[in-house]
Amino acid sequence: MAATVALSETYGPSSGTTQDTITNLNFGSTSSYDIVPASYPITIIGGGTAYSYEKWIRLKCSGTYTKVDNLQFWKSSGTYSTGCTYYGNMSTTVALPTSYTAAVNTVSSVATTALPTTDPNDNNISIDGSFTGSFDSNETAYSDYLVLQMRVADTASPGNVNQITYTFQYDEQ
Amino acid sequence: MDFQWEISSRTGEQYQGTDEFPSQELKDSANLFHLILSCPCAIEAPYGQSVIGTDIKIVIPDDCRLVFKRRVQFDTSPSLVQVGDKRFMYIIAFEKVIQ
Repeated sequence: MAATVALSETYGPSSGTTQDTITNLNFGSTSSYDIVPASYPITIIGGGTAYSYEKWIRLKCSGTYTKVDNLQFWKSSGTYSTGCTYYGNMSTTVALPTSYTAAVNTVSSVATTALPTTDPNDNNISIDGSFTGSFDSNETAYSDYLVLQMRVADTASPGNVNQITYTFQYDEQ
Repeated sequence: MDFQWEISSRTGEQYQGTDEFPSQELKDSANLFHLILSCPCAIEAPYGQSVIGTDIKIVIPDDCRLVFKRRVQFDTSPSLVQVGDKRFMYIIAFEKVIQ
């Protein structure tokens, strides 16, 4: 018996639809989950920057446990393709949004921080609007929203981008 | 089984558990903590020590309570929501109890 912690995504208009048990975190030109990039490519703009739709991600905790906390996220390996950068809203000081706002495919006002490339050594995903928050006593609950966006400059090349790896971490007791 | 533990409390009782964490009450009363793991794991032990093993016994000082938790990591990539297996690090520490 243990906590089950999995990724969930909310997408679409401001009313938001939440999909638990997602199978990928692909960025694309639509606000949806499990995007097939070939179906929703991000088109390079000559002389400008193209933006993916934001991805509004939460960690969902369920199962049998006493406490889960110390949620962390960072990019752990891989080299970004030329012209491609990734931004998020993770923070150790400013709590993440607790409610969904319709994902945009213009420059995000939420995902404004370059993804950390090393272990932050401190929780950077808040719970219930606080970095002292936790999942408690077998509850089924969600973290606050981690918002991610991919930006594509006109120096990028068409085709698939390099594979990168993100790491999520939490403490369970 | 991922892990199995036995706690001997300061009042002499013994408690066991498998793949579930002891309650805060048990951790507060623990005098001796015995942890058995299904495979060798890196354990962050008190006093800045890190050890790798499967069978750990620790005596908890009288003025401290047991901290026992598991740090879980999993990898994702844009195309796969989970890459590989989850990784565990077991953390055993003492927390001074301020009276």
